[in-house]
Amino acid sequence: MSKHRIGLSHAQEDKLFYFVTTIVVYRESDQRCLILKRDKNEKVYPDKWAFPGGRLSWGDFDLAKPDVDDGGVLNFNNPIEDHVSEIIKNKAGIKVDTRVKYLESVFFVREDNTPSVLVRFAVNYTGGEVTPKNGFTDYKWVNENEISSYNHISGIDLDILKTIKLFS
Amino acid sequence: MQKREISIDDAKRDKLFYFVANVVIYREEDGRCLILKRDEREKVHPGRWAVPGGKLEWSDLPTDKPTRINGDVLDFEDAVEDLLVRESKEEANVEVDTKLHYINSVAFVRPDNVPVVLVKFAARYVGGDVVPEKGGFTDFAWVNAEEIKKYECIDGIPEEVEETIKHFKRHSL
Repeated sequence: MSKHRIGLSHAQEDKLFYFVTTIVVYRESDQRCLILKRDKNEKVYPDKWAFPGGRLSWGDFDLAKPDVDDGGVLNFNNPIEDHVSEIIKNKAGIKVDTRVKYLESVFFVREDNTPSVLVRFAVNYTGGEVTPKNGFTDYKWVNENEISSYNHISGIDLDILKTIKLFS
Repeated sequence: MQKREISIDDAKRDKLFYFVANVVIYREEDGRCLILKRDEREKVHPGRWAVPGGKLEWSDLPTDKPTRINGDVLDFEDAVEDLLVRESKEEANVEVDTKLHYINSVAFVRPDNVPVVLVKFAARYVGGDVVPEKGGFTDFAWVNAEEIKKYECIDGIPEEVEETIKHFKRHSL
């Protein structure tokens, strides 16, 4: 029924980005963070240890059901919190707190030249057994020392250290 | 280092967004936050009180100078920090700390159909006399959670100011 739609015909191209979130899940009981091993067939970073993450998509928003319709501007509240829960469920099969903490941000340009904004958050583990899936084949809970024995994407060791400091 | 052109020719269209970040600036000495009055001539929210912030643009990325190269991926660290430091200087002439606290986020679809992700942060004021940017803003005020109620703000700003003050009181210097 909605007359609204999402489209880019009026967009300024040089302001468009992918919006990517990666998440450091922190387990309070032993002060460790979750890392997942990427599938060896992945195009980017095959076989490397990483954090779960994902890209926001137009399909994440139901235009018929905005939280607020502010004079033609359709608002959807807490898209990041929803996205974080969804990613963690999809890639690791566990549950996390809805309160997220900001860790850092990176702009990056992929090999296909697409610009992306990555915002990395830390969040508390709340339950469930880890089941790596959808591009991931293994998992480990590690602290800032243990991460060094894994072949990981560079920089994530610092995020583990930052997360542990943030929560302890 | 080869300079890489940014392009969305090979991007999946249905995953492209504008990215906007805003910052609530907190002044430690009196526990107040900075708000700015939007110009009456602004198309969106004319005359209402807001906080500094802005949209990210490709030209903000010096593609010949990545801070880190991760395989085939060029990284530019502290992206949001740089954006908010720049916007705070441009829109209010103030310096802010780069240690950001996440407040909340909203996604919205503009009347011209373009989808936007807006992320709201809080940061400490470092220095500088406030000068609202000509053409964009006409006034400013430092307010606490009570005082802001007297100002006609953009939706959500009073709650975000309250959350910012709570956060920094818990983590006072």
